[in-house]
Amino acid sequence: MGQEFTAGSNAAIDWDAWLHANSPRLMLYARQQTRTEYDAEDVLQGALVQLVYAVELGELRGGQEQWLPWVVSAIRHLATDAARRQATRLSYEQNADTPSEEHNPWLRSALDDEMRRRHVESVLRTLPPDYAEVLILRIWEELSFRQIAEVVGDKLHTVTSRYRRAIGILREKLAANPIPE
Amino acid sequence: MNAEQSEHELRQLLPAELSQVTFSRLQAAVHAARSEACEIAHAEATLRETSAPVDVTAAGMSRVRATLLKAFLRVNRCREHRQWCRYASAAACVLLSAGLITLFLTMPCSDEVGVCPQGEAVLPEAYTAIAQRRIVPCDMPPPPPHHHHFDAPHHHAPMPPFYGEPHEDACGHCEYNVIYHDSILFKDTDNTVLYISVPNAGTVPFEEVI
Repeated sequence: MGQEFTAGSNAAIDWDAWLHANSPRLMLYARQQTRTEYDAEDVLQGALVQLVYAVELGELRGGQEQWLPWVVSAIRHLATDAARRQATRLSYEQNADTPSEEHNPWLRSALDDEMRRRHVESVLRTLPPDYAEVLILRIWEELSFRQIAEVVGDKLHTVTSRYRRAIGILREKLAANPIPE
Repeated sequence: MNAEQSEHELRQLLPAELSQVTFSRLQAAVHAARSEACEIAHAEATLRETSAPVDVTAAGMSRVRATLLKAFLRVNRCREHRQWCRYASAAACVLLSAGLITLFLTMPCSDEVGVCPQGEAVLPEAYTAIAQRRIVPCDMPPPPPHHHHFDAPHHHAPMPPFYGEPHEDACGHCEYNVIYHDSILFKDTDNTVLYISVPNAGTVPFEEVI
């Protein structure tokens, strides 16, 4: 995965390295925001293209630390647009297969504990979408609560309480249904 | 298990890796977008540089015109009509304000040329120019290949490939500058006709025009 870009005014930017470091977690958020893996890829690609334009045309203020929350916001907007378009294809959706965790996993285990990954992920997928969204943005996208509030368009205390509740629900569900040994 | 432990548990899991196919797709998209954005940024910078005051010397005027046309040719390669539209308008405004052209005629099919009815692609200066009738949306068909105005002795530049059927009523616009589907024709204050092509019509080498 190592192609070096040479064109452009921002030659110092190593887009390849940035993509390599961030695309998996951005894809995680895109998956959570969309219905299918294909939609997630399309949305992420669209968001990245928007980022490139914003950076190269000098429309994005701040340094590279601003890129991640910026792309997260773009993913959210594009996913909303995509969902709106999909709503007009209701009959297709009703017949479509629901994307399964097995085929499109959100997560992987750092400890190669596949059983544990599947268990946690299956519980995560049962959370209300806005709860799961805040958890993902906080845990894996590593955004601050203030940044999350900006992304989702809610007040700071709403986001923090949603996060606390999400963690609480997750804890209860995992306690009621422990990870198989 | 408390909240911190739960967080810790979750952090033990990592986002799923992207497949090589998916990563390559994203990488290619970023690469392509960057190339386009760089071209636009360059054209934008060129246009900014050449927003020269009107009282420039003749040599300066020539430089402004040359740079603007280079910028035009650059954005001409951009696949995004919206961006092209924006910079065509911007460049037209600069040409007008510098006195290099007296009128900028556009076709009403606005996704291809300078005037966009949705407004998002047009700079505010373009609206002013339109209000002052210096940029004129024009639905006249292009002039015929052997139109008498283009056979006039002062037209030294090679003529662009003409588009559409001959239409004698178009002659009223030939005194100024004509833009039509596949080419833009400028007549500057020295009565030199300049033209560039627009998307999907190929690019006219700049040196041939000047």
